[in-house]
Amino acid sequence: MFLRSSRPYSEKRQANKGSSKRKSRGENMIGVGKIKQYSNVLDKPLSKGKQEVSLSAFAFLFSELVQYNQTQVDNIAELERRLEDAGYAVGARVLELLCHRDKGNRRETRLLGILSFVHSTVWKVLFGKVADSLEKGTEHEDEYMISEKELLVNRFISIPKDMGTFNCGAFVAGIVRGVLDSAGFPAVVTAHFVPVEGQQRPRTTILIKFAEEVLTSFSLIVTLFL
Amino acid sequence: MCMSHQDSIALKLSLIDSEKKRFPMAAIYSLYIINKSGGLIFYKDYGSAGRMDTNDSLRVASLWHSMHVISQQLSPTTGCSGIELLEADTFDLHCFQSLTGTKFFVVCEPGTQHMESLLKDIYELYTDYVLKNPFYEMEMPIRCELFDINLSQAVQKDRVAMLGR
Repeated sequence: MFLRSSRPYSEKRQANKGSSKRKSRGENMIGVGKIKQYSNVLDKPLSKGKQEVSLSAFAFLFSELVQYNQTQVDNIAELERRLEDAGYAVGARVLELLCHRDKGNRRETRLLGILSFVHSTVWKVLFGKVADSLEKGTEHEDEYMISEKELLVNRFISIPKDMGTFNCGAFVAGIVRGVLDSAGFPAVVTAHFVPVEGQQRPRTTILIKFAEEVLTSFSLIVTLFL
Repeated sequence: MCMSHQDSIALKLSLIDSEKKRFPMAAIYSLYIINKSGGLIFYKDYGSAGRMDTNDSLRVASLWHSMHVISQQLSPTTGCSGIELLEADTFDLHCFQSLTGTKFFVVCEPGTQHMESLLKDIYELYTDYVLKNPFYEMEMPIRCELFDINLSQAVQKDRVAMLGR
């Protein structure tokens, strides 16, 4: 789902017109013969999916998700955990879909490979752009950070002062954890606000801390083969 | 005694004049947002003129809400949507009511142009940064950092545009 801002009124209207035209043309094409061509549904190539989703619709849905979870918990840590769990399910499914669609049913087995897969492919499919940066933590070997100047889920959200360091990016952290976990790289993933000099708004950093066995098995493989 | 009192008034008037010279761009005096039952949910003033304390701004909000409703019912035309512009000697008041009954109004310098488009912009910011914020409770006072940031940008942009005209 590629999310696009729908801010300017006139643009939005034109865009809508354009897409409805395209859609009707597409339906015509299907009617002409594509259905007949593939007798077996499994032979059909997997569709690219609809590329765009209304940003407003997503923002309202996400807002409701947060509000619902807020009624189910009594503290902020619990809310963060629930958002992360909601994201985890998305991540597990996204990995499955993208491995099939983009990689011909193969999946990354190297640590850096899966990280750049999350940083570029997953981000592009979910948010329409590559993440701003992917860095290795300076203090610990097993920590990596994905940073976004403005995370899409946080675009319209202002955290009230009394909620402290709570970040709705927990949902995205959950997605990342879902992808990594399903790919065999168990990790603890958290979202944090990091203030940027000269900027009014802090950026969001997704901190990935891999489980111990990921790095040991990785180095084991390296020593075995070299 | 009487003379000195008048003197002080004259002094005050001249002070106001000099302040006006110092802030020549304060075209918008203040902005109000009131919910559908007439409660003030957002108030911000710009520049020096027409500044009000909390009680006065609440009073203005509920007064305007009632006047708006009365004007709708007294209007000879059917389907009247209420007062859009109030022109006074010292200020203009532009009002915009959304479909859900939330009213946005600005108090500005007499004869300021293009306030309708500014109000529409503010309405758009309200729908984006207030209504899509999961931590905002409907009909309650607006405390959203992103709304404040984008609002001051919009007002600033409007001022720059006005300088260009």
